[in-house]
Amino acid sequence: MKIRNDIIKVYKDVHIWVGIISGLMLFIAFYAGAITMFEKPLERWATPPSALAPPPPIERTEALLQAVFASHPQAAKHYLVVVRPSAEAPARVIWREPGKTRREFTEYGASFAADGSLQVEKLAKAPVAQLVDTLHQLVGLPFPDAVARQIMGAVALMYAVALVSGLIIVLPTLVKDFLALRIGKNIKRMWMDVHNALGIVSLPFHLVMALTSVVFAFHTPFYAVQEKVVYPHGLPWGQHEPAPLPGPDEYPLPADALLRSVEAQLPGFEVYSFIFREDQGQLEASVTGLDVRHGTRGRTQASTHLNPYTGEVDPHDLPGRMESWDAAVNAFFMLHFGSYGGNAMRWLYLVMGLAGALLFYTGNLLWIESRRRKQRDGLVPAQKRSAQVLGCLTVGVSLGCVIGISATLAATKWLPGRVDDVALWHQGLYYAFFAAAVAWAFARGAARGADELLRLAALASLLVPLGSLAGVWGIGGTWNHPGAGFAVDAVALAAVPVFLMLARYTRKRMADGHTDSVWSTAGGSADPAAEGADARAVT
Amino acid sequence: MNEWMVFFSALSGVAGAWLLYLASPRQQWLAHRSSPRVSAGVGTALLLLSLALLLSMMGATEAVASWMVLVMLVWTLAPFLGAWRAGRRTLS
Amino acid sequence: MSGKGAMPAARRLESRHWFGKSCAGALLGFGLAVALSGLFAWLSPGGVEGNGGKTQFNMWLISPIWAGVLCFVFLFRDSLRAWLWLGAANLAAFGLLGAIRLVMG
Repeated sequence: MKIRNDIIKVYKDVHIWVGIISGLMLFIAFYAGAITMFEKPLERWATPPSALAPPPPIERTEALLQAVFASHPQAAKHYLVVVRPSAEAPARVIWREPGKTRREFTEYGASFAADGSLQVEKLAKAPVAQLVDTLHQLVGLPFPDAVARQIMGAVALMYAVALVSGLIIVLPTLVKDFLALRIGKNIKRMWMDVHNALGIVSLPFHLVMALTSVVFAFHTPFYAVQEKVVYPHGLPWGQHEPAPLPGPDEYPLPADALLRSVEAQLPGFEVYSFIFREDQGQLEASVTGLDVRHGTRGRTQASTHLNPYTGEVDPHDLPGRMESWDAAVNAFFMLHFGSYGGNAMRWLYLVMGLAGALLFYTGNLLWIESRRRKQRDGLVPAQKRSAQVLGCLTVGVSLGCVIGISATLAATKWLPGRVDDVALWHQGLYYAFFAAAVAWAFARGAARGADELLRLAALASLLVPLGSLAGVWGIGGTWNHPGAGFAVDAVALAAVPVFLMLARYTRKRMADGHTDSVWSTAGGSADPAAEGADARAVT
Repeated sequence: MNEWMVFFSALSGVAGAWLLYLASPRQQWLAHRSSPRVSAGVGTALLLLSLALLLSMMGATEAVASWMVLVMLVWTLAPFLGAWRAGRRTLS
Repeated sequence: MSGKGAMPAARRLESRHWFGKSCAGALLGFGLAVALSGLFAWLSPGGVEGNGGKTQFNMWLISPIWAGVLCFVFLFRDSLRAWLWLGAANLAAFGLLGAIRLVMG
C-alpha cells in the first residue's frame, strides 16, 4: 500500500513520542496483567492455611447457618455459601461485616469443630494477587486510584494512537516484510523486525486492550457527560421486576437443593457459590460460577439472580443468554479479561501479555538503536545523553517491575504472622525493589545494570518456589497447599533460566557487540566517572 | 467442552497457522520453501476446521476470539522459531 | 489516507503542529465522540430509553470514536484546520443531537 512520505514521517514522530511516554507504563501493565490472568490460583497459592476444621458437606449447610446466625446475627444480612471451599475461601459459610467505609469489610468463615461446636475465623485472603492486579490496572503508578486511573486512561489513549500510527508506518512494507525476522549485522533492522513481529499480527488483541482500557479508566465521566448531554431523563438502566414476595409457607431452599436445581437448569455451568442478602425479611440470592463456553464480564466468574425460595435461575445476566446489547458489552469485557475458554485461554492470554510487554520493551530498544552514534575513524564516540537515559530507564523500570513482583511474591509465605499489615508490606516490597532497580540501572549504566538486574530477577524468582518448598516442611511459618498453586511455583522456577540466559546474552553483547552503543561498557559512556555524573544528574 | 475436541481444535489451529507461515515468502524455518501453494491450501483448510470445531463448542464470539488469539500467537512466535532455526543452519 | 480537505501536493504534512493537533483531537475528539454516541443512542434500534445494556453500549462507543479522532487528527495540514474542521463537526453533530432531542424527545 502506498502512503505519502510526509504522512509516514509525521506518524513516525507521533509513534515515537507516544511510545516513549507510555511504553514503560504499558510494559508494567502487560507484565502484571499477564500474571493477573492467574489471579485466582495465585490467591490460592498465597493464602495461609485456615485453622478451621474441614468444611461440613453441603447438605449440612443449613445446620451451620443456624449456628452462625445464633451467635452472629449480623451474618444473616449478607452471606455466602461456597460450593467447593478451597484455600482462598476455606469455609462452607462466609460472611462480611462492614468496616469503616463502604468498600471496607472483614470476612469471616465458619465450620464445625470435631466435637460439633461452631468455629469462627477471620479470613485472611492473601492480598498479593490484588497488588499485582492493581499494578496492572494503574500501570504501576504509586498514586491514589483517582489520580493513577486518569493517567492510565491517558496512557491507554496514547497506546491506541501508538497502534494506529505504528500500523500506518508499516503499511507500505506490510506485505513485503510480513512475518520477516532478519537477524544479522544490522541491529536496528533486527529490532525493527522483532518489534513488528510482536506488534503487527497481534494488532487486534492490542486494539481491544487499548479501547477497553480507555473505558475502564473513564467510564464514570463518560456516563456523567452522556447523562447531561444525551439522555432526557437521566441514564436509563431499565427496570428489574422486583422478585415476587414469598408466600407465608415458603422457605428458602437448602443449599444442596439450590445446587441441584441450578445444575439442572444450567448444564455446563460450574457453580462456585451462592450469595444471599436479606432485605426487609425477604431473602435475595444470586449464584456465581462459570461456563467456560461463554466469557463473562467479571474477571473470573459470572453471577445472576436466583430465587432462593424456588431455586429458579433468572438467566438474563448470564453470558450466552443475554439480550444483544448486553451481550455486546459482555463481549468487550470478556475480550479484555480472557474470561472464556477456561485455563487454556488464560495461558494463551498470558503469553500474549508477555509478548505485549516485549513489544513495548523492543520499541524503546529501537529508539536507542536508531540514535546510536556510530564509530568513525577508530574513535568510539560517547553515546547521546538521551539514549543513555532511556537505556537506563528502560532497563530499570522493566526489570524493576519484574524483580519487584518476584520479590513480593517470594515474601508471600514468610510475611503472615511476622507483620501486621501484610498488604502494605507487599506493596512496600514491590516499590522498594522497583525503585532500587531503577536507581541501580542509572548508577551502573544500561548494559551492566541489565546484566546484574537480570541475575537479581533470576534470584528473586528462584526464591518464590523456595518459600513453598520451605512450606512443605513447615519451616518458619511457611506453608504449601498440596496440588493447588503448584503452577505458580513451576512458572517462577521456569523464569529463572530465562532470566539467566538473557543476562548471558547481555554480557555477550557487552563483550562482543558494537562498542559504539549504550549496550557496551566501553561505549555506554566515554569514562566511568562521566557515567556516574550522568546518573547523579538524572536521579 | 469435550477435552479431545479442545485438543483437536487447538491442534488444527496451530498446524494450520504454522503451515501458512511455512507458505509465506519470508519464512525461515525451511531452507527452501517447498510447494507453498499446497501448504497454504492445507493450512487454510486446517484453520477453517479449527474455527468450525471451536464454533461447535463455544459461543460464537468466544470461538472467533479464541481462534484469533491462537493464530495471533502462532504467527507471533513463528518468525522467532524460524529465525532461530535459520541461525542454526548457518552455523552448521 | 489524504485526510479531510484536499491538500495540494506541494503542501507537505509536518510534525511541528503536533501540540495543537493533539489538543484538538483530545478536546474536540471527545466532544465529537459524545455527540455521535448520543446520535447513536437516539437513532439506533431501541431508542434512547432503552435498557441498561444499551446504555452501557452507548457509553462504550465514546472510546473508539475518541481514540479514532486522536489517531487521525495528525492528517490535518495544521492545527488551525484541525480545530476548525473538528469544531465544525462538533457543531454539526451537537446541532443534530439537539434537533433530534427537540423533535423526538
